[in-house]
Amino acid sequence: MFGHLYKYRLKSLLRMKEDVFWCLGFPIILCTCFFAAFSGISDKTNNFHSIPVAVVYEKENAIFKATINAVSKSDTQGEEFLNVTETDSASAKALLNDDKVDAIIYVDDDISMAVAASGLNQTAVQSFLNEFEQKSALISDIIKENPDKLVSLIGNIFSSRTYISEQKLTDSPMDEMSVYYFSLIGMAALFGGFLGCSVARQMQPNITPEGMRKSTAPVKRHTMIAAEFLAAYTLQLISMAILLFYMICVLRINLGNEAGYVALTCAAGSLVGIASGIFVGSLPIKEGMQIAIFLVYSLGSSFLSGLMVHPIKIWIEKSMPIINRINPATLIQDSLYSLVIYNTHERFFTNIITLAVISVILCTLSYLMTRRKSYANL
Amino acid sequence: MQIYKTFLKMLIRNMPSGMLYLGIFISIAIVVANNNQNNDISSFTSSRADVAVIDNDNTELSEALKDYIGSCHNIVNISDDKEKWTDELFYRTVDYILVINKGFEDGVTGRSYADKLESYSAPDSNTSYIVQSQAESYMQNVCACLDSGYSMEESCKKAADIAQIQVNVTLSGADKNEDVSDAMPAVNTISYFFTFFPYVILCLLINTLGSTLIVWNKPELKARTAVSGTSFAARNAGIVGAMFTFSCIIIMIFTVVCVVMYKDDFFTKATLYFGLNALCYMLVSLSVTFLIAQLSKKLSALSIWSNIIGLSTSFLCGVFVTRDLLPDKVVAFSKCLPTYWYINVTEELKYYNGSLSSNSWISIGIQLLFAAAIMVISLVVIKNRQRKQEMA
Repeated sequence: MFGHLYKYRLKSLLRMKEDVFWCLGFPIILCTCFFAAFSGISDKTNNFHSIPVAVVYEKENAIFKATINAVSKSDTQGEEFLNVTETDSASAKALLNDDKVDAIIYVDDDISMAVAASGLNQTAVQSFLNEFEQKSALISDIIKENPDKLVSLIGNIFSSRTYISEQKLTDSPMDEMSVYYFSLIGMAALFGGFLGCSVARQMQPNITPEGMRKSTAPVKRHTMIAAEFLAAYTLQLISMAILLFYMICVLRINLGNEAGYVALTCAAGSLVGIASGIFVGSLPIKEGMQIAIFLVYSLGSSFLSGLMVHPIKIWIEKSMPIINRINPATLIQDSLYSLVIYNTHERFFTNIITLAVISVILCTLSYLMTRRKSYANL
Repeated sequence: MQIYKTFLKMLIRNMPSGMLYLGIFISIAIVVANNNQNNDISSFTSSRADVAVIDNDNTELSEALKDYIGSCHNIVNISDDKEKWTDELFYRTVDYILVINKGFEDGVTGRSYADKLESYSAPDSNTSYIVQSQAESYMQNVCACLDSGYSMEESCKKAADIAQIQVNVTLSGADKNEDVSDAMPAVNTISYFFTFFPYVILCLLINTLGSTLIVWNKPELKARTAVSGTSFAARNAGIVGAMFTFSCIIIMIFTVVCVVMYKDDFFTKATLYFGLNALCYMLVSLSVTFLIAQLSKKLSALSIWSNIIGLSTSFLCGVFVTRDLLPDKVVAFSKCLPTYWYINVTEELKYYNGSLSSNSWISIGIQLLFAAAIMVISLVVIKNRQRKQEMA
C-alpha cells in the first residue's frame, strides 16, 4: 500500500506544474539571471588590472620617466601597474573623454593629475604619484641635512625589501558574488515547501476535496503521511539535483570540491523546506493565506541569508547573531560558504545538525496539529 | 459604460497584488538612493578602504603607522579571531587587515624586519593593493630616516610630515562630467527611482491588468457579452477606456511617490524626460501584458510570467546591475529587448546637460516600435484563435 500511495502521490505532484515551477524552474531562471549579471562583476570591480594613463611631459623629468617606465613594465600581481600612453595635452584630454584612460599625469615643475571621475584606479594612480613626490621630498630634505647619507638613503628607498608579509586565511578565491548562489540554493531548498504545503493541505478534509476523499480511504493515517512526505521529498531532491547539475556543470559555478557535503546540505535544506511547507499547510487556514505565509517565510528567510543584499548576514551577525543560528536559509548558505572557505567541517556540521533539529521540530508540530482529528460532517 | 465600469472595478480590486511590487520598488529606491547620496562628484575624492589594524605592539612606531593608515583610510574595529577575519574579508566589510606583532618597534630599531607586520586581504584585491603599497611606502620612509641618523620619534614625525605632500588632482577634461556637475543635484537621486521602474511596472501590470484581461478573455464571458445588446466595438472601447484610466491612475501613483521621495529635485526638465521615457516603457509593458493575457489561460500562470520576464529583462539590461559591470555578450544580447533602450535613456539622463541627444530620441522611438510590434503579435494571436473557433 505504501508503494502504491508513494507512486501515485509522486505522479500527481509532477502534474502540479506551478509547484514544480517554483521548486525547479524559478531557481534555474534566477540562477541564470545571476550568472548573466554577476559573472563579470568580480573581475571588473575587485581584481587588479593595469590602469591606463596618459602622461603629458610639459617639462623633461628623467627620474619620473624612469620610475614610470619601471612600473609600466614590472610585474605586479600578474599585470603591470600602469599602461602608459605618452602624448600631448589635447590628445590626452580626448583619451580621457573617450574613457580610454583613467587619468592624465601632467609632468611640469610639479606633478599633477586630471581625472574624469573619482574611483579606485584614480586613487591608485594618485597614491603612486604621492609616493613619488614624497620620496623626492624626503631625499632632498635628508641630503640637505646629512649629505653623507645619500648612498644608504637611496639604497633604502629603492631596495626591494618588503616590511609586510602577506598571509592567506584560505585557499578560496573569496568571490563575494558566490554568496548569491549559496543563498539561491537555500531559497530553492525552502521552496520545496510549496510541495509540502500542497501535500499537507490536500490531507486536510476540512479544507480540500482531496482531503475529504483521503480521510474516508481504508489506509492507516501514518502510512499515508509517510508516503506523501517521502513523495514530496523525493521530488524536491530531484529538483535540487537538477539545479546543482545546472550550476556546477553548465554554469561552472564554484561550490567547492566536496560534492558529497554539498549534496548533504541540499538534502538537509530540502528536509527543512518540506517540513516548513507541511507545517504551514497543516495550519487550519485558507489556501491563499497559507501560500502568503509560506512566501513571506521563505523569501524573508532567503533575504536574511543574503539573496538580495549579500553582506546582510554579517550585519545580522554583529547585531542579532541568534537570527543567523536559527534562520534555515542562512544555515544552508553558511554550510556551503564554510565548505568553500574553511578547511575544517566544524561549522558545517553545526549548521547541518541545526537544520535537522529544525526539521524534527516542524514535523512534530505538524503531527500534533493534525493527529486524531475527527469531523461531525464535511 | 457598463463594461468600462466593470473592467475598472475589477482592475482596482486586483490592485493589492500590484501594490506589493510598488512596495518592493519604493524600498529598493530608498535603499539605493541613500547608499549613493553622499557621492560628491564635483571634486575628486580618494577611495577610502576599510582597514582593521590589530596592534599587538602598542609602541610609538605602531601608533604612528596606525595613525598614517587612519589618515588615508577608514579604520574599523575587528575582534582578534581569524574565522571572523575571513568572514569580514569575504563579505568586503573589511578590505585589509594589518597585524602589528609584538616586538615590531624593537625589530625595526635593530633592523630586523621579518614577521613583524602581517597583512590579510581577499586574493587579488585592488583595494588591498593600494593599502599595502601605502603602508610599505610609509615604512620605507621611516626606515630611511632611521638609517639617516634620526631617532625613532623624529623618524615617525618626519614620515608623517612627508605623508602630507599630495599631488594636485583636478576633476576635469571629460565633457560629461562638466555637464554632470551642472545638472547632477536633481538628476543623481531621481535617476535611481527611474532605473528600477521597468521591473516594477512590468510585474505590476501583468499581475493586475493581466489577471483582469484573462477573466474577460474567458469564452463564456465573451459569449455572454456577444449575445447582449452591447456591440463588439462598444465592448472593446469600454475595455480600452478602462485600461487607459487605469494607466492614468498608475501614473498618478508613481508621480505622487516620486514627488514625496524627491520633492526638492522633482521639478526639473530632466524629470520630464525621465517621465516621457517611463511613459514609453509603460506602453511596452501594456502591450506585453496584453500579449501574455492572450497566451495564458490560468490566473496562477501570471506570477510565473511576471517573474520570468521581469527578472530576466531587469538582470540582462542593466536595471539591477549597472550595465558597465555586465559582460559584453550580455549587453550585446540585451539590445534585442526593449528594457535595454529604456536604460539607454536613463543612463544618458544621469549626465543631463539641458537637452536630450538624438541617440536617446532613437531609443525612445525603438521602445514605441517594440510596443507596436508586440501589440501586432497579440492581434495576430487573437485572430488565429478566432479563426480556430470559427472552424471548430
